[in-house]
Amino acid sequence: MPGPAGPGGPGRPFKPDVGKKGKPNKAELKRIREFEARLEALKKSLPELKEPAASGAFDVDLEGRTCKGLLVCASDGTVITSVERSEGENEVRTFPAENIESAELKKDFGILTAELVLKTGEVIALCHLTPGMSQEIIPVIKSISDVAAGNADRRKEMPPEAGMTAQGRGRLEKRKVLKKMLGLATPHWKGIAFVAFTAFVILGVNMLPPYINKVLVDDFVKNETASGLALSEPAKVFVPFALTILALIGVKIGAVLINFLKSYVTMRVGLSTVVDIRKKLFAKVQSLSMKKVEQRTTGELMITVSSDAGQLQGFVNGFLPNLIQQILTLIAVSAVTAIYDWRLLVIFILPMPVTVVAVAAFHKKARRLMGRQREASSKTSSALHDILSGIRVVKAYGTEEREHRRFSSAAAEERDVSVKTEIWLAKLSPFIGIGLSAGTYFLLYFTGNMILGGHMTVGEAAMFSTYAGMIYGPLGFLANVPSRLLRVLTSANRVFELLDERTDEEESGGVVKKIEGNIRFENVSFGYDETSPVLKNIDLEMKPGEMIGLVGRSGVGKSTLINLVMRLYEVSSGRILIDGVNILDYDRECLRSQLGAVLQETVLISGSLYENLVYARPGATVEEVMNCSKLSGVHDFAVKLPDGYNTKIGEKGYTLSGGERQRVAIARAILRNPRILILDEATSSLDTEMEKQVQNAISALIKDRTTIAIAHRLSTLRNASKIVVLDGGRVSEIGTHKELMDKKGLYYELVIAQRQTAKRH
Amino acid sequence: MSLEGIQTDNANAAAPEYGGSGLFDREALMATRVRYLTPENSAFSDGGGCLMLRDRETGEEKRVILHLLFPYNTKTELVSVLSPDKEEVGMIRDIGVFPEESLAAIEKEIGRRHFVRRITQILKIKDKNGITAWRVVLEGGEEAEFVLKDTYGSIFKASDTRLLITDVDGNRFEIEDVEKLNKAGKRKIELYL
Repeated sequence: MPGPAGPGGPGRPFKPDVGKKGKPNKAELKRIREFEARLEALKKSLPELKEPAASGAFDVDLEGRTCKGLLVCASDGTVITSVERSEGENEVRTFPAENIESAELKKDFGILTAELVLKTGEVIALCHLTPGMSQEIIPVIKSISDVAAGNADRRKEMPPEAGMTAQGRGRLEKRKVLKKMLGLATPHWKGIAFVAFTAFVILGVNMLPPYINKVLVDDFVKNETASGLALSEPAKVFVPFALTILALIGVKIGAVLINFLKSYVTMRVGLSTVVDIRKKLFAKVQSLSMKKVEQRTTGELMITVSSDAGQLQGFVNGFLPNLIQQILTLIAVSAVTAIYDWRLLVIFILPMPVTVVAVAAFHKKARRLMGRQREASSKTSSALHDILSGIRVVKAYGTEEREHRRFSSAAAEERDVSVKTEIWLAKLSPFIGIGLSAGTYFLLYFTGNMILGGHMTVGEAAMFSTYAGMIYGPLGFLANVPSRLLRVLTSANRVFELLDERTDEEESGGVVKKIEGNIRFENVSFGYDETSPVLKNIDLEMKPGEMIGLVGRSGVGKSTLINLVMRLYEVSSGRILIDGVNILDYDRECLRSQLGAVLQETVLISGSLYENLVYARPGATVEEVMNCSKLSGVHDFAVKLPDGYNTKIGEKGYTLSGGERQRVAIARAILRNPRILILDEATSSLDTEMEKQVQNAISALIKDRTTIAIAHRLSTLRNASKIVVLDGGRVSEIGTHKELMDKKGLYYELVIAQRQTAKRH
Repeated sequence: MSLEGIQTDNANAAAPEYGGSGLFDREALMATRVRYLTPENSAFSDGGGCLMLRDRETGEEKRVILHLLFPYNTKTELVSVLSPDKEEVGMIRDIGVFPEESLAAIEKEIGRRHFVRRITQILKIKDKNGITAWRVVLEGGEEAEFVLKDTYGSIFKASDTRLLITDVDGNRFEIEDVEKLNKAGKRKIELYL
């Protein structure tokens, strides 16, 4: 009975947390039913309870014991918790709306706490929950805060994060993924059709030599008439004999040619498919929003783009053609044998189940051992990586000996695991080999009997013996298909998960216009993770051409506010308007091209100093670049470098000092000539003299454009048109330097504290 | 549980004499030293779902939060005492020195902030290329299922026999002694150690 208050969110039909269109499994259905029954019971026991705006289940009570609990936010803002104490007996607590300020979720070790902040400032623990339940409670927490802040209607409908339960994330929808994989191959259908065709031809070619061999043996070698004839009329025998041999050679050459053609085409198809995928993946990664990029580690993304895509290539040009070929061989050999004598086929098939089971078990164990080996080897290389990348620290602290021991023990572990794996493989492989070929021995016995009984010729026996050999290859291969397929599907799943992600581009509107520089924050709240807001209900206006200084203790949300203006993240609630247009409605290109930023950390691309400067505006002339470089102070150190602007910087090149990097960043910003300029600690790495010079450059830079600046040295913000002081994620003071000093509030305290520190030094 | 490998200095030892070195401001240094809470200067009590700290010297009582600084190593030593907005009020070196009433309240609070379920038996580990699905029996006989994404990275060896496991959602599990698992369970987990 999906109602407006299902677990997971307010005002939208409840969808259980399973794959995007998957059906909920039994356990989940049971959980949902239980939840709904408990909610109904609660509604009955509390007749005054208004229709819930949101509700969710929690699983740990205030004493830290596991329990079955419900957290409800009624549409009037009343908060109710209910904990089942015994069958049908509930402990209910109610918190009237008028006392509530907001709600928060706090994280501890393996447990979260939902807390209510009262208007008096008092904090009350509502309930605890294990991290797996947080997706249920977060919407309730949001709802409580929203209703309390009076912006329940303004709340943006957040799409549910589909399939985010543990099971949901681990699950593979094989059929769907397989379908998509075939979809990727469609543009290359001609190549694939050719490969399939060659598979047929190769099959025919492979089936021929045993038959020709049979003809050779039966018609010439073991044929007494032929032997007699050969003596009397050699030409009559020799010509067909030579022709047979030639046919054999011809078939072999044909096989080599066709195989070459097949490999060539499969390689081409496979490679072009994988290049397509990699291109798509790379483009996707670039266009994802910061939040989505941060959900994955760099390593994960790299694996997806390189090795997962490589797995798909292996599938298209190795596995798939092989599979077709092996299946065809199996069918063809079985058919030929069955037509000749069904008993032969039985002998062929008899060891099949045993073989399949044996090979599958062997590979399973082998894979686990290999996995362990891989893990051990990655440990060794990561130890090596740590030591090498931290070599300065190692030397500075004189810990070479200790690192040597660490590396040795990792290497020794790898050796032990590898030895164990190799011994196991060496011990078992021969047995597997014998087991696999057991059928051949049965066959020998059977055909031997047939020959002795005169029911079969030697040539035929030889032919079937070769066919028998041909059947075991495919059998071994097919036994491995499920695990191979699973591995490919896992990779494919990761690839498609990334490809299906909505990009920043798709999420943004198409407004293209020249920006004047009016920025307005309307009741903006934001948190990097949904449970802990960094910025709370920010209202702020910046006029075109103004310079706004952002001030506050560290960790208060200054850089976060800037990130929001740059649209690296989306606000959780409220909105940001630039010239009256919601920041989300701007075309991404248009917005970013009119923003410039000098951030705390300057990222250099590997290339020359000049390339690094011109990166900000690829079309700039040398004169323009030079002007900016002079203004920012880059020129001062560039002239001292032997290679001048051609000096290679970045990895393996000239190392820029912190101050030099910052000057490069400032030069880039000047070159970009943005409408909105963001300075996040833009001069923090410069000495006083340099700072003075760069400040001049910055004053020239900020003229006529909206500037938001964060600075640790408050003196640099003295000339700001407005100083915004943030405290606890909220705006606590706004005014000019003078006004705020007169006010003797937080800003005054910060300035005084800084002056005192300065004096002491 | 012990604090193997973690050096702690003696709280009762006299403050080192940095004064006069010219490098450090002695007063500033004293202010940044950790304040240790002992039965002599503080008492704890349960405030109904939260922990209350009474300063014996000033008589002031306020709500505090406990935070284990070495949750992997110990649940009883080096516990930070924080105000609700996470400013450190002081630190408890060893909760064992507090009298019964305080101790009970402290343990209750730790129970609320540190939630680890103990695994007594492993029924099944299903491996799909590094993503593993586990079915286990917890202390008390309840069965549980969870998923580890990066299996090797999710299992932390706190000692030779004690393991801490964090699943994809952030749920915490503990195997107190691997040797005490039954043979089948031990074999299943062995591959990931």
